[in-house]
Amino acid sequence: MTNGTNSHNVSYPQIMFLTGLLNSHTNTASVMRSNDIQFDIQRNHGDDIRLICLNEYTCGLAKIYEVLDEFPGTNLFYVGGNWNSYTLEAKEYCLQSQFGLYNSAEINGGLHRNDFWAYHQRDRKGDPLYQTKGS
Amino acid sequence: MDSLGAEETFHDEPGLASVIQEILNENHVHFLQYGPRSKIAENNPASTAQAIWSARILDTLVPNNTRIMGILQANTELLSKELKAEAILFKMHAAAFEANQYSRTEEYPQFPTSFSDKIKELAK
Repeated sequence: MTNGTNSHNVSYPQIMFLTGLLNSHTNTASVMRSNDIQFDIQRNHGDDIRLICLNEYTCGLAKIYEVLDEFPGTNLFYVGGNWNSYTLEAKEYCLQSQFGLYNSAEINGGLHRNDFWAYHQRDRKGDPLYQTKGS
Repeated sequence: MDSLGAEETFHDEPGLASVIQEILNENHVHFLQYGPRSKIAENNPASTAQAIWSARILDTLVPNNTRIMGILQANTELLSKELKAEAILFKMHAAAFEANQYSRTEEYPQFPTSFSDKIKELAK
């Protein structure tokens, strides 16, 4: 699969948005895009990341397994914009496996952390807030 | 909210369909403007306009869906066999759509366009 086409229905504007976000992030040293939706990221602080850009309204475990099979070495799944999200089961699997699973509201925070899979927003009580509810 | 539409009775299917079409049209406008397939969502994935969509789901789309289900239930004797079949699809979607607001579910039944097509046809 070359840049310009992918079988996951990820549009060019979605890819360009993520490209801009990654290139301007203060903790990214270099970003290399291949296979249209694969981003290999070297960071100033923290381990390297292989990110796959998706456009999933609700990313479930089946999609995670599919991507892991197609893109070996993936350790961060980006599901797309603020409208997109993931199931609780997928999030729990990724946390246990130390894989990042984020939408656009969360990805910046994850890229800053050494434990890049563990970032989460917080609710008013200070408890972890994951994007597992609807929109 | 469960009783929305339950007291709205009609004399014939076209009359019922006209009202349902108006409600569906309102939902569709919000979907096109701020929904996950809107131009805003495509061009600016990080837009905070997503919050507007979330608000409209709760204050407009879900109540509208409940009202439609109430109307269909209260006027079931008016419904043709074809519309009854489509109504089941709509009810499946509406219930799953509401549940999805509390906990994301993969592949819940999408809005049945065959239902809106049938309503449009009957409302003429």
